[in-house]
Amino acid sequence: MKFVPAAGLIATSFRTLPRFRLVRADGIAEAVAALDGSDQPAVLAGGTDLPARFNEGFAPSDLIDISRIAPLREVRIAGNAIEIGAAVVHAKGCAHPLIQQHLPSLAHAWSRIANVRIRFSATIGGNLMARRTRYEGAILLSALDARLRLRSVKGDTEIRAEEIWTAALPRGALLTHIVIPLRKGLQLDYARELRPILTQAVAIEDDAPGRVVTATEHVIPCLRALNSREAASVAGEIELNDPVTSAAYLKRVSATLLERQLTRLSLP
Amino acid sequence: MSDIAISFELNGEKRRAAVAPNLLLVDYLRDHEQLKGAKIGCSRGVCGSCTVLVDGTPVAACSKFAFQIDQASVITVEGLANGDRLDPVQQAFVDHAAFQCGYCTSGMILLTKALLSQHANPDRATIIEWLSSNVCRCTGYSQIIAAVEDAAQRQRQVVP
Repeated sequence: MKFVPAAGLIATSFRTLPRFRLVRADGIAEAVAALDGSDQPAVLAGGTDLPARFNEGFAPSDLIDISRIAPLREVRIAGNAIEIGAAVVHAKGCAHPLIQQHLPSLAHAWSRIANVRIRFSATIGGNLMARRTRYEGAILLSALDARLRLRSVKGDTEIRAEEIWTAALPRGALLTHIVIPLRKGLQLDYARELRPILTQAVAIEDDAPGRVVTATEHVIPCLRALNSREAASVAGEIELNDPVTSAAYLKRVSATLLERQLTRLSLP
Repeated sequence: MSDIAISFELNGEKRRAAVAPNLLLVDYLRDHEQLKGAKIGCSRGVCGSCTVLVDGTPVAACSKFAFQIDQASVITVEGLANGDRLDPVQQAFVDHAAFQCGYCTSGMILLTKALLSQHANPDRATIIEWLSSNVCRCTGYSQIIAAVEDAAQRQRQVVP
């Protein structure tokens, strides 16, 4: 809803959307140049988060449509990692043969986020770049120790997935790819049944400590190393000052979920 | 901010239009094509009352710009009936009284069309998962689920 003088509260529509310049980019370089040259850019891929941002008062000067850029819609293997284009739609990403083959546990978790209708339109890049703590892409990818590749006029840079909530991104940066290292024994379990109170992603691998990401919708998720197989011990390290749910309750729920998740992952 | 020329198919008919970049699809359908079946609800892609099918997939028309349907095929609830004969999904909704105020109905019906195009014989869990995309504020979900189950059965009888 938006307050319009003389009209009161009305729903967002053509009559209330801000005017902007549209750039329909055919390539990454064109999109990056448009981003760099804009005072207040917005990137359009799936577009499912934009209405919420408009409702929150966001008024871009330029809308840069990246949905037609083919390399951003691809999934590929590069060395010992899987690279997911930022404009890959959820429904296609979770069903992609390479994801199914190399990270079936991610495919399963990815297929459960949002709802069916959103999954047909929304992209993994949009989920991340919205930088909202209630969106689940970064929770899964943080557990998998993924990197986010950003392109700006100064070149490529990478950040860790969990930095998306806090990092200062380069001016005009376009998220181009999500890079997940395919380490030996890498598996993911995502507990979503208690959402929105708490969700928890656990990733394990053969030759390194695992990672636990615990999230509520309201604060930056908590990332911990899974050095110990003792769920209560790991849950004891949780640091979530959630405004809705008490820390003691979150700690207990996290520990309970972790026990179940480690069992599902076949850990002792 | 110049208009963008688009060509697309709307309920089986070819169309050309010039649309402003910030024109939403739901406004184009309701105000330019006078197709009022897609309802404006939450205006942020959550409630699903504005659901239409774009290239066969359900889309919130309040969350899509009109220029994005360039070269696509769009189906609204007005495009389902064949003359006076309702689509089997529409008929199932009527037979099961699967609506109260009716505001969510066109979105629910189009969501069901998409579901049945991908799952000819959906189980109850699949139906519930799909329907959770849309909201019925009258909370008539039991009748809607029954209508979807019935529509699936009718569709299987029509399409071998």
